[in-house]
Amino acid sequence: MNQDMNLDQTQFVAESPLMKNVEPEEAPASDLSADELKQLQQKKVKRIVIVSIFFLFVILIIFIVVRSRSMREDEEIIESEEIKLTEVVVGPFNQRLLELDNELEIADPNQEDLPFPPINSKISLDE
Amino acid sequence: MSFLKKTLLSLIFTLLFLANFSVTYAQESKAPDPVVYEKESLSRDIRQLKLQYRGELEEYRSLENLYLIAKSQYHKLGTLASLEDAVQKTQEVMVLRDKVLRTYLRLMRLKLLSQPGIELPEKTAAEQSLLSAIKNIEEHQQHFNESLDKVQINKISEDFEVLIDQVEEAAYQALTIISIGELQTIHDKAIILRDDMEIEIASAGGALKSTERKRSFDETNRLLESLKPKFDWVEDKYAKPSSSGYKGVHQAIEKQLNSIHSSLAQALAFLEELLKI
Repeated sequence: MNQDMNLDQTQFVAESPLMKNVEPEEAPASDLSADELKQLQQKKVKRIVIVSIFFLFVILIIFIVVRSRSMREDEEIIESEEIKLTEVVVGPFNQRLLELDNELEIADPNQEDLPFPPINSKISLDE
Repeated sequence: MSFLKKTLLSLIFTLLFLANFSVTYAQESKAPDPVVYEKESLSRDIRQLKLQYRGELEEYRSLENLYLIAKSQYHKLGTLASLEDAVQKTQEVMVLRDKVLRTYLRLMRLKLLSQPGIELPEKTAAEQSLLSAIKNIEEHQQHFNESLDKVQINKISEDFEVLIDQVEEAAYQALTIISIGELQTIHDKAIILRDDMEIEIASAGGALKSTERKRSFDETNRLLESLKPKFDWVEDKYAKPSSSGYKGVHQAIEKQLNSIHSSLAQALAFLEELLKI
């Protein structure tokens, strides 16, 4: 058991291809040269890569579209929930009354926000 | 670089571009309403100008103290050095005084423009007075482009006494009409709110509640209606200023504006009570 636990993982990974059942390589077709076979294999790999990239691309585009749509829907839901919450807690009339109360506080004639500046209009060097 | 790497890189760039585009598109799809945008921009400008005005006023106060000390020293010592110091401090405080006034008038103009509940001709007239006062201050500021002596400073001081009357007149004209406009807007909104509430809730909660509510609505209506002659009186005073000008009007209508303010507060309290019936 201890021996199993002490196994070097790096070595294990490095050796793993050796442990696989290696199938005997197919004998090259007698009418094709080795170079031609290599080119054919490369073409095959390229085709597989292009097709898989294309599919990946399509999946990602679909993912982006779906995600942006769901985000927009979420925002709309949050907004409508906020409005509902305000209506439930405060009510539309109470909300308007609150706004009017605030405006009335600002409009108090006894508490002018910007009175005429307290400047000295008699600045001179004479006494 | 291998074909695979090239393809993967171009794919990543394309996806990044697409993701960025979708975010930008989502942000741009919410186009701002021009009226709301203008209102927001105006209130942002008012906030900035208010900060600038308060900073300048603070600076003016400290310079005014230095000017008073320098002037007192000059009158006490009578030396050339003390005169030089007094001339410099006087010129500095005069420059800042003009600056404070100019910023204040610009601020008043923005507040006037953003204030609803004012008739357009009255608003335009008040704005013109402010613009004319700003122009006169700017002309007055040009005196300080060069170094002045004692005689020139005293001459500018005399000129300023004429200028300040015009500045005060323009400022009080704007202050008065803004005060009236603020209360008028609240009055208009309270009437609309009362009407909307009557439509929505007058008949709710059975016959007994309906009668109680009707009496309350009538009382609120009487209170709001009673403000109309008060507004007429105030506007009449504003339209025909006495010999004391708008500063006089501002003082004369203060009591009436206070009375309107407390009546409006009572009307809003009535409306709040009505919602609880």
